[in-house]
Amino acid sequence: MENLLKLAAIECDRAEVYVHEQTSHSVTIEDGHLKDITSTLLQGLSLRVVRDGFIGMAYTKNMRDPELLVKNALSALRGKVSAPGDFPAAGKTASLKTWDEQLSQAATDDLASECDRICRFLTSRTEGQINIMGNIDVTSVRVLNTSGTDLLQKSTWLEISPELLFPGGYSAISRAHETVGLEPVPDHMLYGLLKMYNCSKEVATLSSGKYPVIFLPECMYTLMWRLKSATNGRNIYLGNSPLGDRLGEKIFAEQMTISDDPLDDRFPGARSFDDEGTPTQVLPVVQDGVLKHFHYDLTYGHKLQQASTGHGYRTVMWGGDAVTLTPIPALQHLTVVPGSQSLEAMIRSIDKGIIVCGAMGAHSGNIPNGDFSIGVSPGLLIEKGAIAAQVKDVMVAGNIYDIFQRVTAIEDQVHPAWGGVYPAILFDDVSIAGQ
Amino acid sequence: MLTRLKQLLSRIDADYVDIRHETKTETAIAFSGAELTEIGSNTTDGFVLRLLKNGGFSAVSVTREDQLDRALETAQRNARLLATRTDKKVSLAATAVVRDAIKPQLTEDPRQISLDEKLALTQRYNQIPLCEEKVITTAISYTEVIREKTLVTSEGTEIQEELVTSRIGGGITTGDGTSLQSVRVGVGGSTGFGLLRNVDEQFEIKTRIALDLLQAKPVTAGSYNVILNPSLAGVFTHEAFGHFSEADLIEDAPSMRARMQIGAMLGTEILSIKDDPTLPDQLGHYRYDDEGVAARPVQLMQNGVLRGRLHSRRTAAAFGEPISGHCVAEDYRYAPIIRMGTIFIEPGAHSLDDLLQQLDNGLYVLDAMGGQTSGENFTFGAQYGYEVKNGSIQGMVRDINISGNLYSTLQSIQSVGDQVVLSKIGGCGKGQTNIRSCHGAPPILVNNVVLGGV
Repeated sequence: MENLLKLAAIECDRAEVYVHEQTSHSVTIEDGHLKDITSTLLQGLSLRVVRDGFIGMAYTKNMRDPELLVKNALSALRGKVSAPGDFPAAGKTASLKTWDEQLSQAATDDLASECDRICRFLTSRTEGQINIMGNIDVTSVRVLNTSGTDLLQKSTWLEISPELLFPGGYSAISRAHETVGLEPVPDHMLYGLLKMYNCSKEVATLSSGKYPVIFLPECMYTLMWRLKSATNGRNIYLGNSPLGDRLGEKIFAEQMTISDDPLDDRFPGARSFDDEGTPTQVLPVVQDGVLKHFHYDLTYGHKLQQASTGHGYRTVMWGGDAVTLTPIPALQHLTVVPGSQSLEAMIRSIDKGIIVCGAMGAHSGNIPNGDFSIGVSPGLLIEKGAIAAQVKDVMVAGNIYDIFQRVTAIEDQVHPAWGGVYPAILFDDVSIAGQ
Repeated sequence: MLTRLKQLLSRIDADYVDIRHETKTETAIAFSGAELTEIGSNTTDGFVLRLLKNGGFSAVSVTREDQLDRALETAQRNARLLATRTDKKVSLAATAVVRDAIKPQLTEDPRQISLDEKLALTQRYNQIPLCEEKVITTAISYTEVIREKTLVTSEGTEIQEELVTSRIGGGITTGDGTSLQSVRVGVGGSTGFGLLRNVDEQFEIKTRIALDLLQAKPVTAGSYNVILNPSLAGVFTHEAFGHFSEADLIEDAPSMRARMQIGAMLGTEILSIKDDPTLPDQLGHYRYDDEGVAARPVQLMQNGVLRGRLHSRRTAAAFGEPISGHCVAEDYRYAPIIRMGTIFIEPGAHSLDDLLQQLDNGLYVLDAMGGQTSGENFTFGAQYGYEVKNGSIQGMVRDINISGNLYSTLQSIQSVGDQVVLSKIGGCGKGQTNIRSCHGAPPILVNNVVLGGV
């Protein structure tokens, strides 16, 4: 990689190499049976070069021809895409626990055995359909540039997601177990799934109206996508955000504090530098309901005369193939400060309302505006302080700047979920379209 | 490459093995508003190896040729593990041994068009919305993907097939200080660069709609009778019904499988649905799937009765049903899974005017904005719509998201239009992204659809 950087530097002013290697194993159990085991051994690297204020990028998966890679990157310069400022110089990065040697060496046998154990545990306690997805990712990310940065982060990531499916399809009660090491799924998590599933087997209808609604961590991404969009430096630059001129203003209820914390290594995925080699930091996004910060990568920080906040990631909405993507501003480690109530207490406080356990259509609707309108998959009906049934064929809709003013409770613990680490949140008076 | 793959194949001890090598060339040109943010072309490659031994069937993807041995060892270990731990042994349905090489018929091969010309055309279309004062920004891009696939199997099949996909599209966002509104626009397909020329009108129409949305009325949540235009009816067909015609999605979902029995009356008598990857010139066209099975049309529903299903070789054997040639991968990073090719509702007898008269009062909703399913329930968004009163189209409405139940919606389709329109760009995300996913329909009239509002 050093040689590639040198090769590129001969013909340009600055250069950066991003290397991504990942070995993954996945095990799938469907309807209580081991269905599939697959593995992937993927490598790739991306080269960005800057000359005369313009940037070009090229990538490869096979590292076969470094000269061709440099040539492709140089040929992209003719598009005259404006370059960001300097690539970051070597800086101090946090020391994080992202690696577990035992998990890095684990084979599909280990993963299959744990999934099988969970399946037997659940099978003996419910008649519901059991699906389990188990995945081990062993990843390394390296960023080196002509400013002297050479950073490497190795990480291991175990994810096991048991699901208890309701009849009719893939609507399920589920929760992800995510660890850096080879840690078994704790019994209390499985008992929690069983309890929620077993009291919601009946199917009920719900008439349209406004109800208290609990969003579980598993569907919090629906709301957070809207906040991420509105605080994204690119959208601020383009004028495509309702928050562009509202820094320092109260936008949510006072009890809402939302930060991006890449340094939290209690769960896998922590990062000490972003995909551009900028050291990461904890970034308050909303503090006590007040909008505190937007997030930037090198490019959009440069355009808006701001420093990168360490949020340049090679990603798109659903993830993407990192080496083929250009970095964009992205919040990858959002977390909500927990409140003081258990989920059980939040449920007990509701006379009639629903729990949204999963969302369908979170990517539809007017995301820049903060609007959402989702099908529930599933939704659980709460009556007189207890889960009474599942509800079907209803939609939950609103605008995040409206419903985050009506937060009535926040769960007292956080759970890893898609795109962040969240507690459950109870909102009052949320619009539900039903029968 | 063919020779190298055959050599590799010859030293593998298995009941069945296939190796797919794929070279993928992607060209991307992207604008954020008026600024060019990305331009370039890259070619890279990788391998997918699948191995069946004693009823255990496993796949491994690998990007470096020097790691093929490691990939092979991993596939053997995984197959062994599956064979010993599962009571459901895999077998593969028989298919013809094929030796073939396919190149697409292109009106203009995008590889022969200079990057500068592609840039100029993308910029021209991007400028159409940007001329309008209330257009806040755009995200218009050119994307070209060329897959050159080589498949060899231990049964003797050797297929080389090339797929060329190109498109220009993205989003247009308008704002007036009180709200932001956005629409999607896109042109493209599988038959070359010629498809992208002289389509200014598409960008002009969508710009107008994005501006009109600023004055549109938010729809009130509730249950409505609606006409879905071909784009939305196509998304319904794909999301709500099509995915559950994919055998892998219902194979181990007992309640879905019980309902989706061949011969079951699921829809109204006016409803017939087909998937046909052999339709020439369509986005969803291919000759062979990524298992080397020749694609063939499948009548999924005929006059409301379930008639067929989409299969891989594995599921065809498990279900005891005919192979269909629908097992397709996104690229060299993935083993193939069952995908729709070109799925569509077959035309009925009614014009759009007939449907409006039949609707009388309700909504006419248009153009897809993403969809999702979780079995019997589905959700999808519409970009815009119009109120219909006494059979006549009235003012524009916005914020339309639809949710429903597959079975009750199939029974609620009251009328089917006579003009089928198939999609020009795709992007189904069933674990992998299928940019060639093609769907369509004539306009359809559906009763009692739940809209979420905002």
